[in-house]
Amino acid sequence: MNDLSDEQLMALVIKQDVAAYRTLYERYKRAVLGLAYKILGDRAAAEEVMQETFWRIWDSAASFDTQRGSLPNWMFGIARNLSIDIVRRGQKIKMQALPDLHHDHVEATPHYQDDHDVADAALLLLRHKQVHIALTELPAEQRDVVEWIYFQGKTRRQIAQEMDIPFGTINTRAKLALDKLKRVLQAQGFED
Amino acid sequence: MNEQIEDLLAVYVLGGLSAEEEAAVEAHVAQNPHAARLLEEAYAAAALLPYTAQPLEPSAAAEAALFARIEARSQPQTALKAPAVPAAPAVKATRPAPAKPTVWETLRHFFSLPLVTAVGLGTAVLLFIWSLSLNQQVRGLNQDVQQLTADNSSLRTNFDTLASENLSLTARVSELQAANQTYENQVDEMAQTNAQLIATNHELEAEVDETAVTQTTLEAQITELQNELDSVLAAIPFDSSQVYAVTLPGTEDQPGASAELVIDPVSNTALLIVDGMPELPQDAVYQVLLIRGTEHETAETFRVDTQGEGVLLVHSTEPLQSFDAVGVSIEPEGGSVQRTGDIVLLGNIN
Repeated sequence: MNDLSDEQLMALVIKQDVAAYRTLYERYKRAVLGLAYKILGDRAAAEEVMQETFWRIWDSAASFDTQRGSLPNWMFGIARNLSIDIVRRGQKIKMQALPDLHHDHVEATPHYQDDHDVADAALLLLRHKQVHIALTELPAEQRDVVEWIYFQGKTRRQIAQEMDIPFGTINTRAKLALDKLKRVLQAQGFED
Repeated sequence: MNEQIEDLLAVYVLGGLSAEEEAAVEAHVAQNPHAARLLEEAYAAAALLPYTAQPLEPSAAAEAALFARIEARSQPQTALKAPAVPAAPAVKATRPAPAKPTVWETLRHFFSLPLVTAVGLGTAVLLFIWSLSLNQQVRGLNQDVQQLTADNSSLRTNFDTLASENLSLTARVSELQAANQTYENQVDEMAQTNAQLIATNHELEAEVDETAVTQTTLEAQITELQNELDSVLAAIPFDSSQVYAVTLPGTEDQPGASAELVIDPVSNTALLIVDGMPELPQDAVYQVLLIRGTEHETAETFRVDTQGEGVLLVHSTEPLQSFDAVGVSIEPEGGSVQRTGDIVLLGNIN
């Protein structure tokens, strides 16, 4: 089951295959929880978002369309939107800085189901370090725009009003940030 | 407008647009393949952002809650398929058979075995150590990049310095070339001047040669005249025993003039030698006057040279001693029968 691709697993999940679903869950649970926690800054709220995300994957598996993007994109999109909704409703607001890689905190004891699970966890950890370093190497003004919009849920208009930055500047910084991020990671051989 | 919408794609994929702006972007992308490609690229970059979050291990409670929910969703289907529980017999009840474990419980039991857990933990440790090693390698590579960047900066600084020196040298070469050109021009001018001087020298040499020829000619003429004079003097039948000379001083009209009259009574000729007399124009001549009392007879005419000197042989049909004086006057060209001009020389014969 671990050798199946995301798309193959989703095809089984559509058929209510719990084992396939669990494989997907084990594959992405840490990343989804980490993303929700980064946005919300609250463990309990983040785990609620994680549960709701995976629930929607199970419940709306049939609506997943590979033509519209990859499973991780869909999954992370659900998790982010749920998290941002909470932030915008004012329930959980926390300005979270980028974590220090030298002092990572693992909130729960890792529970690896099998060797594939361990390998996925190690790969995820390595991927996290690569992308995180690439993000920290962006110019501060570009990194801030990404942080404000993607992780804090601010709109372009809010940023323009609060930070007194013109729309055009925001557009440019966002574009430059994404271009550079992709370029740096491609140079490192990172494959999404 | 299309360009402005394409400027929004990055903010769109990050989720920073309003609903109206998102609708505008989606409408544009639907009609524009180029914009659709740009959007796809932006999505690919934005898809990396979730990985910046530190991966976290969900709690067992969270997992249990999720799968309980899933099981609950799945249970109605499972309940419809479950066989009917048979009715208990009237006889002594037997110990009920243990419930068949679910797939989940089987898996949980299997994977909770110590050996599998130990192997998993060991593998996790090894992979973690491997990730640390990779992290070190990345740091080392970053240091190498920084060093290379510093070296590149140093090389660029050296290059800039050399380029600046090259510019200075080039400017200096240009200056030297200009100076060299100036010197060449001066040399050309000097060469031209030298050529002119050489030509002038040739001309002067030619003039000197011509002058030398003229001098030679004049010397020859002088020699000839001297010879002629000697011949003339040699032909003069003067009896030296009775020859005598008288001086003719210049008059008020020519006070600088003077003459010697060498008289030979025997031949009745006299040699007039004049000096200090100005040259006369072409329409006038000097004429000898033989004076006796208030009367006079005109004799030969003569001219002087540029030095004011002249020699004349005077003849008379009468004895020269019969005259009282000898004079010289200025007369028209060809002479006069009677004196018409001023007397410039006058002296007694006796």
